[in-house]
Amino acid sequence: MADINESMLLAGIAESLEVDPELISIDTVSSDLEEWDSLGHISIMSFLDKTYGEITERVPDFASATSVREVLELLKSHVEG
Amino acid sequence: MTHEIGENQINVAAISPDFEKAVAKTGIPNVYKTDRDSYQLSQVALQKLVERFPEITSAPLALLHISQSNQEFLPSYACRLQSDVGLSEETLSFDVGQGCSGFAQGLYLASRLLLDYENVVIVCCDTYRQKLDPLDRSTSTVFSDAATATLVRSDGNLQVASSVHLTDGSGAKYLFHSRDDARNNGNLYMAGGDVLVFTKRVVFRQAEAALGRAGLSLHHVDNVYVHQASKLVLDELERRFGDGVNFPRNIEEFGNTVSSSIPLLIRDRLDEVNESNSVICGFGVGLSSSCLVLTNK
Repeated sequence: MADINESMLLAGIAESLEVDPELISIDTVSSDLEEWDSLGHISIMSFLDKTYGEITERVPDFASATSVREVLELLKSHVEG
Repeated sequence: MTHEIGENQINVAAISPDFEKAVAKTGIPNVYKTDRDSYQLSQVALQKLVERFPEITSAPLALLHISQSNQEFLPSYACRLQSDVGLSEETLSFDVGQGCSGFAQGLYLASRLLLDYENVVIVCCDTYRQKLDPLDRSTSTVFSDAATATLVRSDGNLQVASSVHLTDGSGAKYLFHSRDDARNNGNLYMAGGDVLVFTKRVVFRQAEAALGRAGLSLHHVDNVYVHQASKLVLDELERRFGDGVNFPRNIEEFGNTVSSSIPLLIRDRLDEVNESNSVICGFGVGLSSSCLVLTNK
């Protein structure tokens, strides 16, 4: 399981949404991007699961996260290290 | 087992420039839409079944119509179908308002009805595409219209060895369609992430529980047939069930046909189903999930 790395998280979210990495920052919210809809969010969840060991199953709150900051805070709360 | 698919094939990538990337995620290059209403689609599928098995019209049977796409309030579509396809008046006819878990639940009900009927017919039909915002990437890239009709016989090889059913109505808000235009502009709404969390939390464990009730384990299972929701969901579930089982898919052929997805999956695999141990998992709107274990008698 990976440690929490903000840069890696931003890159992973960008790759999941298939958008230019420059469009993703800690302040990005889902309403900023058309690609961050329900389907895009599932891709983000898949990335988080692969990186942090099925974390969205252990922490259902990820399903309703609507911002990068919220995702990061959930990771900090639930990932050791 | 017979079927009728929506007659209009729609290339997903052509719906909107934003949809091309969705195809790789969903595994669905084309969806199917019907210009007919759900009753007409149901009737065609059932008529095909009656033409293949005309003997079922002369005996009492139970007829289940499973759908969440009825466009009439009453009477039930099952009652109308009894007359329109020429079934015996000694037919128990009723509708079941269920979606993606509908066939699994219908098969469970059929297993119980077979105590009193030699034949049970399960008609599944959903025409979700008329409920959608065509530009909603989360739903428009996924759902197809289809109907299936399945004949279940008391003298068949198989039995429902066990079943486990689960309902989480708190998840109703994650997948709904309302007459109230204030709710998602009257269009079908699906929060894919929340439905995925439910699926991951429930389905595999439910299958294990059903196997346990049947005195079996995954080692005894030959085939796993799950609701064809999307590639992302199938990848997740296939990973859970592991390499030791046959895990067929046809998501790329029809898309997500809701209650018809499992019968469409097994229609060309009936020999396989009849000769081995299988698990059937239907899950989705409700939220609900039903798993059955099928074994030879």
